[in-house]
Amino acid sequence: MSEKKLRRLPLAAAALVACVSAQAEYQSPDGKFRLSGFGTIGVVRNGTDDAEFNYPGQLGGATKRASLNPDSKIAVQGTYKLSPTVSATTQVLTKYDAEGQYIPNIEWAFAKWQAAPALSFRAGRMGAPYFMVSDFRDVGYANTMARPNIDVYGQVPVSQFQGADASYQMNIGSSTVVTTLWAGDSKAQFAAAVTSPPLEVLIQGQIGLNIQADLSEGWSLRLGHMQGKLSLSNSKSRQLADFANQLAAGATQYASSAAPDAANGATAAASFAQVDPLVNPSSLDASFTGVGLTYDQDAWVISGEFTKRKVAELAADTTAWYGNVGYRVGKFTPYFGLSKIKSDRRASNPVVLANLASAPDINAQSAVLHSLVDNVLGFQKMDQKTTTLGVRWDAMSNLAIKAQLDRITKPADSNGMFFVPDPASTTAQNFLNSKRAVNVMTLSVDFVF
Amino acid sequence: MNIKHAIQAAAAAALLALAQTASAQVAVIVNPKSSIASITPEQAAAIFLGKSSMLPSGQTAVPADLPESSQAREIFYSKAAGKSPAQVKATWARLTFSGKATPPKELPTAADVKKLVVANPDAIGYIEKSAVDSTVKVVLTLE
Repeated sequence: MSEKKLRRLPLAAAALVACVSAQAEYQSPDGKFRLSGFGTIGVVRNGTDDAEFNYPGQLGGATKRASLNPDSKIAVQGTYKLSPTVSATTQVLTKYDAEGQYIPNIEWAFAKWQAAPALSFRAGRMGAPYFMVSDFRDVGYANTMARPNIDVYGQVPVSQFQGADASYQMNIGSSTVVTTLWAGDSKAQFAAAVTSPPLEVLIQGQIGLNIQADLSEGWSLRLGHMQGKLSLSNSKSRQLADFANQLAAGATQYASSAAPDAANGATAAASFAQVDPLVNPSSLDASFTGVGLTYDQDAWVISGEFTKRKVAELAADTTAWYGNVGYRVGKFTPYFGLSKIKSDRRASNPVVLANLASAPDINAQSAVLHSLVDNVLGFQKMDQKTTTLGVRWDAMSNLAIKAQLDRITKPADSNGMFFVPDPASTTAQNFLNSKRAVNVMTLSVDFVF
Repeated sequence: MNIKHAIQAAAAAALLALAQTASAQVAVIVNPKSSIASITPEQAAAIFLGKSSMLPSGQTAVPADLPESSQAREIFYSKAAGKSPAQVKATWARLTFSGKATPPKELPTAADVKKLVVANPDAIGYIEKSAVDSTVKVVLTLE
């Protein structure tokens, strides 16, 4: 057991003690303050050592050596009612992050005003409602499966936004329809490799609309759309852009020289200049649209989502969907799921290999640039499909145990949703370029307290 | 104990449990001054499962739960919403941890629920039918 794992043991022990000793959440005698929490202790074993399985964005995950990192987490949430209509909520969540650490993070911190029985406003830091289960994606106990579907939920690297929302509830017959308008900015770190620092993800000026309809007989339908401005950058991508720009300046000198280097110099320079906006995209139009359906009544529990991500200028458009079916037999819920993510459009490497008779160094450096850009683009190659089989056991009133097997198939020229520690390595290149089927096994204990 | 006896004993226990469940009735109660005459199982479920904070009268509902160990609670959620205690718990985990709603206040006994309903015209609760008296108004009976 590594030193890192040893440091994690107290966290796991504390979580277990909390869940066993604190059956119910705490409520102050006057009823104004409530404290509750949730957590997961999960172990994942990946069927390959060539790439790691994690929740996208984390710095590393499971290989054939099982890991606690992808799923284990603990959170505490407090709500204080300042008046019958105004409340304040804070949630502190600790999970394995983009820097490979367990650092408590303020996931939510918002105030809510119930202006009328049907109308509420919130402001502060809240869950970014891209998906059907965005708000409780980390609450394993509240979900049938071990984790939110990665093919779909891995498309968006942010989980929270700072801003405001307004919700209006209508009762139509026996259905309840909640319409929410939200606006704000999101910021997150996303680890794409061990060899570079986490990407700083910014989605600014987001505005979104969600319609959640709870129909009768256990059905509910959810429609959501958002748009905003996406920026991605880290120190390594800025270095790469500097290198490309210098090379472009170098090649430009030959554009005014004698033929045949003139034409080739101009073409190469133009292609190098395209690297900066590609690896440091700034304020690009991005949108996300999703449709979800659930059925949860009596024995059957069914859920599915169909989503589309669009980042036009970066050509990072994806379509992803999942469908899950579970059937309750007493305290056991065996379940089955299928899911898929597909790139609709993918950015191609713009770098043209220079062929300058009078500048062999530029020729060599353009080849280096080409492969560096390939490595950056590699993490956007996320096509894969997953077949999931598992069982949830409601072992205690506040604790569920899940065993899950995911068979993930990814085509050649895709990393799927796997984490590739060093994209430049031979192992990584082989993984990227071959079709693979990988079995991922998960055993987790989810609890609320 | 041989297998035959074990099966007979289990069957007898199951029948007994079934008989107890079948005999128990649960009444959804409100304040006698409330304008609500009746409520559907769906409306009651919506209020107790955080889908709606409104009573059919348009007022903000003040719901009260019985403890998890109570049989009336189990019958209420299974008959009104088709949900087992674990499903109810998972539903509230979803709502609580998305900051959307907080679960109904939990009161220890049917007498406490009645006391709340008598004191608050917007309160709504459920108790065993046998515990109903003239201080409260029954708007739905589940069995």
